Amino acid sequence: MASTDDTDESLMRLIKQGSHQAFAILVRRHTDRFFAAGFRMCGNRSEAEDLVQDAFLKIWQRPEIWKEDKGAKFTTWFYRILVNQNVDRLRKGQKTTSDDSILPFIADGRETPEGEVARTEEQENIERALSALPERQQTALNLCFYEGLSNADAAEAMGVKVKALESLLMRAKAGVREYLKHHQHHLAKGERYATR
Amino acid sequence: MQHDELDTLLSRRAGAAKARPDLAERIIHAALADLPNRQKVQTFWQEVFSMLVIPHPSVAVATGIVLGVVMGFQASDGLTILQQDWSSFLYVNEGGWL
Repeated sequence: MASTDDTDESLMRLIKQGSHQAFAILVRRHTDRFFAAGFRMCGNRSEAEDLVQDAFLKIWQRPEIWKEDKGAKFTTWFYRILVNQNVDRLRKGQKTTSDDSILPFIADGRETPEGEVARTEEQENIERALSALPERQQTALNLCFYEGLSNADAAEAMGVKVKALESLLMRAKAGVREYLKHHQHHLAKGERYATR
Repeated sequence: MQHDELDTLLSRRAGAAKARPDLAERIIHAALADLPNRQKVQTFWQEVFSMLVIPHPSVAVATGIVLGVVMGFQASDGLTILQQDWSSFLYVNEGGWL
């Protein structure tokens, strides 16, 4: 009998035995967290929802892919599924540009009109800089910076060595820096608004 | 732009959108809809694998080793007797015919 006190790993054991109740507990526990990760990967609400749903249904349909003896935490392992689903989605060419999805969401945080403009511009620059990065660099940055995974966990989620992850992070930051340098006038404009 | 400045800037990135409140329930219902298929597949494979499963592998291995050793001893005894028979046969023949 599954209970909300069960760990993710013991719920997975029950899911392997066919417990829909355990599956429901796991989904309710983690949907928000993985949706946020999916949203950062896709930059689009409906695609992020599809991504999370597909990933959860995958573990429901094929729970045997969870190998407990490998010692991975459920959440790290699930990030890996999410990352792989996202790679499949990109291969199928389902990627939408972030301009028509994530950017309108940015303006939601209401401040004073001038502060809002500055904030929106800054956010737009950050989003554009991040979306200009190669997919793996984006993923590395998202997992380490925004999902709060350790380098070791992020490396495991991406299926790479820690050194390779660190290299991806370095290149990602260099890429963002380069992008922002080329689009400095946007930032300068934003800062001017902000200091008024 | 310095390393710290970049980190600060990145940390000011807006939080991700919130999931729709019904997303978790939608996933759970989608899984429920898939339940008959899952059980069918699972039942079929369970049937197949149940034919191959050894209930207590360690007991089976231990029994196999014991049986192998016992049969090995028996076979070696038989061989000695057989060899003795052959040698006596050859000896008799050598003595009697050649």
